[in-house]
Amino acid sequence: MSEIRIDGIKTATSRRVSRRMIARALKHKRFILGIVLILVPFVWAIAAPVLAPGDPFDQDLSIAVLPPVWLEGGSWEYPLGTDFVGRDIYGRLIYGARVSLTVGLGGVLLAIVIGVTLGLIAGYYGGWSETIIMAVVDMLLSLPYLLLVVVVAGIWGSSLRNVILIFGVLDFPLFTRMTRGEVLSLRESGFVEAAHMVGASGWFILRHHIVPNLVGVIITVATFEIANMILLEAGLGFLGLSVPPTIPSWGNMLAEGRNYLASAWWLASFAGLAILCTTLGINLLGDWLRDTLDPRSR
Amino acid sequence: MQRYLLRRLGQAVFVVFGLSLIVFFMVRLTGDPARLMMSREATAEQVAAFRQRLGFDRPLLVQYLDFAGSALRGDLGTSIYYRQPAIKLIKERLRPTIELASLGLIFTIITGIPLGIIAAYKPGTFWDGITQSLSLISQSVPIYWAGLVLILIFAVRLQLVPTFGRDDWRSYILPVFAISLQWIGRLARLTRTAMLEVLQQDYILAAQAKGAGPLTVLSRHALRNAAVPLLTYVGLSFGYMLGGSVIIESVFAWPGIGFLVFQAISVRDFPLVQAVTVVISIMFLAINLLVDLSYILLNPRIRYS
Repeated sequence: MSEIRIDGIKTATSRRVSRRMIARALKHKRFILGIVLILVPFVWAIAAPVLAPGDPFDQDLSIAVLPPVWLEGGSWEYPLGTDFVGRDIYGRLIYGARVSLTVGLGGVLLAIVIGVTLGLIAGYYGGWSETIIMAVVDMLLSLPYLLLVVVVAGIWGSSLRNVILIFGVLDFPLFTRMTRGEVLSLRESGFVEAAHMVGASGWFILRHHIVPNLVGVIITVATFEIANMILLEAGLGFLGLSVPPTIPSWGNMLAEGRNYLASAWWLASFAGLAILCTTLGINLLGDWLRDTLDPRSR
Repeated sequence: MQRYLLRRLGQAVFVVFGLSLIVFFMVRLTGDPARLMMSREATAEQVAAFRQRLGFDRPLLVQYLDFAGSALRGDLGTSIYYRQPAIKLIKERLRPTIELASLGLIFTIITGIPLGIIAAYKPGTFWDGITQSLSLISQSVPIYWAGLVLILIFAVRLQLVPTFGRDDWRSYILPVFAISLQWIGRLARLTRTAMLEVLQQDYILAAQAKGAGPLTVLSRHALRNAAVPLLTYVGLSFGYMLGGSVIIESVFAWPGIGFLVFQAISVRDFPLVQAVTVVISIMFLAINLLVDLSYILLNPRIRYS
């Protein structure tokens, strides 16, 4: 009997809490706009085979460079027109979301795994491990990141795996420095000292007192980094240094459309718009997260 | 102060050493650098001859010492494609890059800082909204695409400026605008935050109380005190415009070192890629060091020990 009652209270409060959170979120225009903007590429990426009208790999030179539907010569069959070998631009845009989101999420995830682990080690244990880790971190942070990304991608060759690897490995120092800083200040705080005093082990304190306090900061920074990586991946694609040209990606579409600017503007324009909307949405969410999770930053 | 200088220089030396390792192993980590640099159609004999010519058949340590030793003497290797010393090619391309970065920096400062000041002086107004949106957009816009759109509108359609290259003054307009785009909004936002903080201080109130006009308060009292965090950002952006402009220079076929890196990558001329990476990174390091040192000039309260 009592169990049921406790359960009832629990769900009631959690429901009230979530309703209040939604109400608060709705007040935030940035949150709504951000969600709306990133929902489209997310749905595209997940359901690409269902949503894409035809086969985005299908080449047909007889229908090459068709304009979008609202221009003369366009048809509803290819709403955003076709590219220079007659592939459906709308379909390729949908498939392109997969590459962008995979690189953004994969690269940031890798950077977080490496960066936070090293940051926890450096901040909590200190000593020679801290010296070595921070020397490498400071070194990587003081080199021109963009140039290194372009150069390493150019040398190692272009594949999805390489791009994620390069982004993750070159971006982890950001998370290491942040984690270490937070750990250093948390370690001095009252509740961690108290946990020490009652005899909690180092591992227990890390897991139960330090990591939960890190989550907010890391999520905020990670959000902005996802946007940066999506921008950078498409930039690499534009230079022909990201995924192979056979794979539909927004960066590759920009690179292909570049030579047709004067005659067929739509080849590059829609891919650029897709990138802009996606990164804008993610940055809006990041802004909102920063203000919501950390009231001090306002 | 002297100890601080020495420590910073020591750090810089360490970073350059790390950089040399990165650049050296970048080409060798995947296994056979000769394979990597030759085209796929090359025969085994050709690859072997190439390997021997560039010394890739020697032990790694010998190769590294050779690479680092020549670099210290100012010899950054020879370009495979141009068959010229890499350092000579870089020197030829330095001027256009420095021009582009300097003009971009000036444009960023004269647009970004006033925008931020206006936004901070009248928070919540129309201009504040403009500044905030602009900073968000400049963070999110793909600059290469913005470059293409600018070319499409101003060069192809209106034919006001050339589509690419570096000839008369008109060919500078689009690249300078495009390279500044991503920094203007961020600088405006940072200026706004820094100014908002300073404008709350007592000395601002004191200045207003003794009858100083808004312009005097903003320029003589507020901006000078907000300048330190802004300087870091301006320095950082200048470093990136010098070194990270690979993409913008490639969009406009601007004959600078960024475009040189891209061209070298395209023809798999890795000795040249290595050399440019070293040069750009050292410039980047030097600028950041100078920015840190200029803090002391701007803010006498900071004393390094």
